[in-house]
Amino acid sequence: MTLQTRTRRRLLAGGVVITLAVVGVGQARPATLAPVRDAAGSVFGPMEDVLTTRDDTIETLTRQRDDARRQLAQRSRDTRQQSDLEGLQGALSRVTRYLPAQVVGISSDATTQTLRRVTIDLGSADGIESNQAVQASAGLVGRTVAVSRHTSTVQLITDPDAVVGARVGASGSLGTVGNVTPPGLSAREPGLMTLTMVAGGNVRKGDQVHTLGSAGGRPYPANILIGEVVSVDPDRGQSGMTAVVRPAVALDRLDLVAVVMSVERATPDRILPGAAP
Amino acid sequence: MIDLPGRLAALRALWLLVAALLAVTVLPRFVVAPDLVVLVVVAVALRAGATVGALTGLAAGWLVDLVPPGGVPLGASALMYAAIGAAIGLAQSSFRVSALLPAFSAAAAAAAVQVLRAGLTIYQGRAVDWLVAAGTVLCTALIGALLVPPLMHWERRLVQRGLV
Repeated sequence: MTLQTRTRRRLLAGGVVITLAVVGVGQARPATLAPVRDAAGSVFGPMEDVLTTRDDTIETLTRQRDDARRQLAQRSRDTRQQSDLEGLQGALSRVTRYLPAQVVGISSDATTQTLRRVTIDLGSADGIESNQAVQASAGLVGRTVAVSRHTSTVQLITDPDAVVGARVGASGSLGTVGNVTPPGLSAREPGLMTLTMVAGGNVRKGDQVHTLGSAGGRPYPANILIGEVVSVDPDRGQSGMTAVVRPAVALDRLDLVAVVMSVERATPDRILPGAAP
Repeated sequence: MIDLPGRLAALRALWLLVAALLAVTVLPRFVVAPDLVVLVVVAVALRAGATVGALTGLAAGWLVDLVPPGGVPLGASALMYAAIGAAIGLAQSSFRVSALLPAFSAAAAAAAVQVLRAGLTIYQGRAVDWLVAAGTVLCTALIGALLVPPLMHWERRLVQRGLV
């Protein structure tokens, strides 16, 4: 039972015509033929699979290596976060309650390279409100200014809009720290801030600058390290003495921070230390 | 009245399928590998003539184009193999039957495939490795001299015994 010659010729002619049509369509619009290839792949793919003798060694080793690398990276991240947390605990010994938070976004001023705001992964759902202090283990970071349900925006102390009341050096002179260079002085390097002393206050290079603190620890609790005085500005007729402060926290490398939720009262005889508020 | 394709056609289709699958799975491990599909087309065309040769070539080309990863453009290999099948089928009636005929046919067919492919490659603006192409032609001719006569003989015997 074979095909007759005429049938074969017709079959051949039809096949060639169809093939030519397919080639034409494929040249004009290749995407049209994708279903054909998909179907062919699902038919012939399993057959190819059967015929392919596979060497699993490379695949297995590659997977093991990638797993090991991932675990190592995870472990070093865990270790770093662990030490960050311990540092925070040490730095926050006076704080009765705080929440660790991860920095998930930053925004900076493109022209001046000033870091202004960061976003953290805690929001109103975690009990965050605006005007809460945010600090890292090394010192003050900023305060929350806008809170959404699961994230909050933190205004950094380097934001030109931020002003922090400060106590300077061993003498405890008062001043404010901000990021607006007083008139008459050349602009600061990015990341450096200006300390303005209240009239009569004295400041020297190397002085530590701490927060002055507000009632109830809002926005800033007292005595958190802000930074260190790196130079004192010459007198150009400013109302108070001014100095350059380098923030204690590397704000461009923020990772784990803590939002201060509540602070011990200043009168410890009323509340036992460490007692729940 | 239209007859259904016979069992012989099914057998040839099976050969083509095996050749096309081997061509994408086992053979790429070697630098130079024979073109098994063209050998099946040559064997069929030498035995059955131009029309069947062209039909076999068409089917072979479609298989080559469709078996993943497949050929581009879709259908080009089908036309190429059909032309080769037809040419071998026409030529076999003009030559005396010789022991060298399968080898020469295989070499000519493989050379045609390689030249057409090289033309397509150059048209697409890529470089052609002529050494590998020549090696493929030589290898196909050698394997063809060994494989095509048994293939034809086997088919003939199966037909004579009425098995296909």
